[in-house]
Amino acid sequence: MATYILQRVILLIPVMLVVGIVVFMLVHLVPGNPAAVLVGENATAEQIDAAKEKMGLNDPLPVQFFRWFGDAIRLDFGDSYFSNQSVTTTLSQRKEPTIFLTAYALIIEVMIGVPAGVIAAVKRNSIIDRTLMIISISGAAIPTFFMGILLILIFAVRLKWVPSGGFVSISEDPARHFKMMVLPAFTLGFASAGLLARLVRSSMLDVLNEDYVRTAMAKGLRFRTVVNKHALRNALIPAITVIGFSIGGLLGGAVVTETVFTIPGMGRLVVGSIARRDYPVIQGAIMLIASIYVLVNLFVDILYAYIDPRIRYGGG
Amino acid sequence: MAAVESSTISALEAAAAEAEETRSRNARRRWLKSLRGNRPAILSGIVLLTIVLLAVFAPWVAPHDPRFIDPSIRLQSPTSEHRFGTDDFGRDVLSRVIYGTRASLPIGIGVTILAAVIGSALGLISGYYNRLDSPIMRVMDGLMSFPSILLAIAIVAARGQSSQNVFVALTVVYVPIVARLVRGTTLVLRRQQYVESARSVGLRDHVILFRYIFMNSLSPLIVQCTFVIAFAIISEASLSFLGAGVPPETPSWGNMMRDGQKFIQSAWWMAMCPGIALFVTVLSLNLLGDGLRDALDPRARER
Amino acid sequence: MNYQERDIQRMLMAIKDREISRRELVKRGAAIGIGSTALAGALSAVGGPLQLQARALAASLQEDASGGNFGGTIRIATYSEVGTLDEHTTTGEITAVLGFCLYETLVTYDYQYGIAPELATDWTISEDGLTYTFNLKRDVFFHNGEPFTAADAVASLERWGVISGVGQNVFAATASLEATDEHTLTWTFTQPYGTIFVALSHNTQAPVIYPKSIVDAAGDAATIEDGIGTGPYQLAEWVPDSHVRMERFDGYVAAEGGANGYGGTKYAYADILEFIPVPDGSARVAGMQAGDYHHAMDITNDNYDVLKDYPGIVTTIDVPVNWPVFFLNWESPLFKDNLAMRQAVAASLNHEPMLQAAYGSSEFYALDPGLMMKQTAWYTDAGGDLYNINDPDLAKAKLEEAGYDGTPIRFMASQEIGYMYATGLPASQQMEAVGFNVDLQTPDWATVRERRAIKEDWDMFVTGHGFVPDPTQISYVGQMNIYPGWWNSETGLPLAADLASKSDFDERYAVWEEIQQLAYEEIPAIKIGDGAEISVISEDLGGWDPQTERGVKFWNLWLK
Repeated sequence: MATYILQRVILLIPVMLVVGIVVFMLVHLVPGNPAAVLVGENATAEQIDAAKEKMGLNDPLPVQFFRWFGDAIRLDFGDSYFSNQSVTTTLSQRKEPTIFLTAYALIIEVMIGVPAGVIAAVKRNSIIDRTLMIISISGAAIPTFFMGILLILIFAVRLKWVPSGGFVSISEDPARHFKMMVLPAFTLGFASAGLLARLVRSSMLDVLNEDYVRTAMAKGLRFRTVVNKHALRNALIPAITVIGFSIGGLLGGAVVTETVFTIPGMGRLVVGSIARRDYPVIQGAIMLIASIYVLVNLFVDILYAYIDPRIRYGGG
Repeated sequence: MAAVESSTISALEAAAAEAEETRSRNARRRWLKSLRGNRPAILSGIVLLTIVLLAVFAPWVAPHDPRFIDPSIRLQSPTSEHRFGTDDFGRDVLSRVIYGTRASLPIGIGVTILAAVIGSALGLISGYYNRLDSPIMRVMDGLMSFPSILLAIAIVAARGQSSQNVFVALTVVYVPIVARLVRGTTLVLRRQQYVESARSVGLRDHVILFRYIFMNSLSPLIVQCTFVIAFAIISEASLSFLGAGVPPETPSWGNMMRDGQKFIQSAWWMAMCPGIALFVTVLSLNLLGDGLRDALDPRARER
Repeated sequence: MNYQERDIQRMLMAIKDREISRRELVKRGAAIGIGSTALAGALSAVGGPLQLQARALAASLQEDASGGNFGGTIRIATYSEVGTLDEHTTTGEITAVLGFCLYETLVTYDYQYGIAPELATDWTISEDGLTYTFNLKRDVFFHNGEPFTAADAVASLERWGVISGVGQNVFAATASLEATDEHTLTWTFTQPYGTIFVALSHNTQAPVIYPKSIVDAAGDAATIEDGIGTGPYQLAEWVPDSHVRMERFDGYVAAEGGANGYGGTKYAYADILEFIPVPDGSARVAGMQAGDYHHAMDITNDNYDVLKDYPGIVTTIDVPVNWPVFFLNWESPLFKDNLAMRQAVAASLNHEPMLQAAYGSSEFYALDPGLMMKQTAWYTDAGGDLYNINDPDLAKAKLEEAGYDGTPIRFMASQEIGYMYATGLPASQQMEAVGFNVDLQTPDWATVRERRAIKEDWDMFVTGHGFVPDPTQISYVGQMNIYPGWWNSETGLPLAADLASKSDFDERYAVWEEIQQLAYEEIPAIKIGDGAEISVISEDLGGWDPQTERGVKFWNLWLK
């Protein structure tokens, strides 16, 4: 097991290097000049040149990259052009809403996706199965921003059950915290729940066709017991991988959801920073989100290997 | 290698091709039979065909010029003249929804084809040549570490807003998915008997890769592609909402929904009409994809 | 509303003729069933010069109603993150609005956009017009407890003179600025500077006064973000993209004499002001309807019908505060020294559909050639016969005369800001109809700002000009050959210099008429028309002041 974990961790190094190159290149693809942004609108050409020199933009690209990457892996992304605050500080202020939103959305995804998938598989080819699958696909067929607006109109404007947006910390006011998070979390979670439900359905069907399940049924065990005791557990193993992957989708979806529900998280930070050309923050935030995703998937892989030992020794 | 006679090769090829053809003929027959039993998939196919026809014949079908501006009739609710109402510039929403197929479908289909071509090439190479596997797949892993929307807005933001850049951004997002899939099937197929023998008689790699491996991994690829088209169409809408979509004067469904959501309370038809068009399209693509997958996978079919 | 309007007009006449006292006016107001908020709404429907008096009336009513309640939190949805709290560095509207609560200036605008004293109580001007002596308010404290003295004013003004464009102009003409004693400031100029009070009272990129200690500590480059000034509110917390929270500053002593535009008596009724950035327009509307905010900035007019009868919300149409304008690049090969080409653009445009697309029905816009708005004494229709010509045939003829070869016109209309795209899109179609080849570009606003500074990068762009109290503050008048578009007018530049240095109103007005006429003849830019927006506030907000051209005031505002 330890060897396996070590292997996985070593594999992270090239992946993170690729992530770093992409994030670095994103900014260096920009037609404008980061130095011009930094010194402001009324700057002279000399001021821009001085800033370029100071920012090291005149060095060869690889030199710039390794300097930047070297700092980045120590979580130093420089200072925001905009607030002059260090990017690390900015990110740490903004991570809380995104982490909570993603976590709640994940819970909703699992709470809807798994039961829907299991029920659909057990009642396969029935009306219930078809309806559940159409609803699952629908979740993914409505763009999140539109879903968000519709939910706000229904639950905040018409029914006035919850506020239209915003964020308070759970420690500050737990009741309000949950009220504020329920719509965005549902908006975000519902879309992924559909995909999860479809996956759980098909892996559940695989398992229900396995010999040992058939044997158990033949032995006269109650269907419900068979499903709960044998099938569900095995069907959920592949689902874990999908849940891991879907965290990436949730983190990305948070960009949209945070904008609709005015949640001051990292997603909105990225969108806002793009609008104000705040390159260090863009780089830092995307790097951080990608790293979270990579680490979560590392964890999922390890968990998966722990549950299903075949993986550790299998190829690929 | 030099000892291999060309006749051996052609004989082998002929045999392989024959086996292949019987197999694929049988497979096709099975497919069609299974598809025929899947009513949602058939219906979806018909809906999608209609949408494609709408795109092709948009100028003849649309009652008005989708770009014609007449602010004096802006935000009118549906009437017999403007069956889906008018938008904030007084343009005919129905015509824009119809022309929207010409923006949204090419994005969905174009991105998918591009991603399929690049992704397949990378997947084939990666799965076939051990030495190249690791470097290619680490790059793909790296690209997959970005939430797709985030990577797409960052690319569009960096390169500027244009249809071309939206195209590039979404392609970059979907290439790794295709590459992984094709690599997976390649790893399995290259150990197959007929591939081994093709190699032993000294067929060139690109022939083996294309004729024996790629052609056989085509079916799962096509299934995956229907989903990628659906994702790409949805992503285009989300990008528009974030201000990183195709240029705003283009009547894409995403742009129309982005504009319409500002008027959702005063002119619901502006967002709802393209929204429903998008919903139906994506739903159909998914149902068709599900149908194809079930038809392809005999085990799934038995269920 | 018509009968109310008539009654209000009668009441206004009565005040003018001093027939009734203010107290009686309030009684009469109550008799026709209007409180000050409703009155404010009714008054905004009154057009023309009466409006200014109406404002004074509204203000006096408010003062009588000054039994406003103390306490509570007022929540305001802004359309974007504030970005910076350093007033010296930015013309940004949100910084200005938040800044009014935190900071003060020597002088500010009154209801008629004349000068109201603020940190300077009064001043004298030497006979030669070169030396100004300001007496400063005593017993004023900064939020950090330091007393306000002339040294703070000198330090802040000098910093503003380095950073802001207007300040640079002022200091270019300055011989010396000294603190004569703790409460006296002496400002000497090298030449008469007619617009010094305009410069000092303007409230974006305003010369607000920070404590000297903070200015010194900030040094050259850094911005000042701690929000410490002498205003009625002090900064409590700023979490970017989440909120800016301000608390009442207990050390603030309100001036006497009643509210007076952006100056006068200021009460911090609410305990807390919370400014929440809500970038999505529909989210701001929904938030108002859900009762999450007391006021939301920048609600598009198309929501008027939905919001005007919505329970708990008061929606009023403001006076026009913005005019969309297309700049033509005098340095681009297409327009440089090619008057016929510029005339072709002007003649091809039909302004009304653009205004409809940008602002909605006719209650929200006006076709008006005046570059200075009707609320000011500067209004003139000089050059009006060249405004909104809408003559495609003339345009085609001019295009031929100009020798246009079909080179695409790079026209930037940001899609981020609604009215820019809404005027730019119809315009590009109208231009194409007469034979122009238009390359409509729709980047975000930051990109437009970056690109418009580069002479080779564009031919036309849309922007909006806000309400300004003095014609020198119009971008392409005050900065004629500097502002992007680069109006290098041989006739215009000396006129602009005159306008800036003279101080007599009549003389300046005559110069201004000439400049406006010239602007229509030479076409550095094309004004489309005046656009009004709506104000949306919650019903339980008391003391709302309809004077919003230079931003909403959040003092003298209370929760009922």
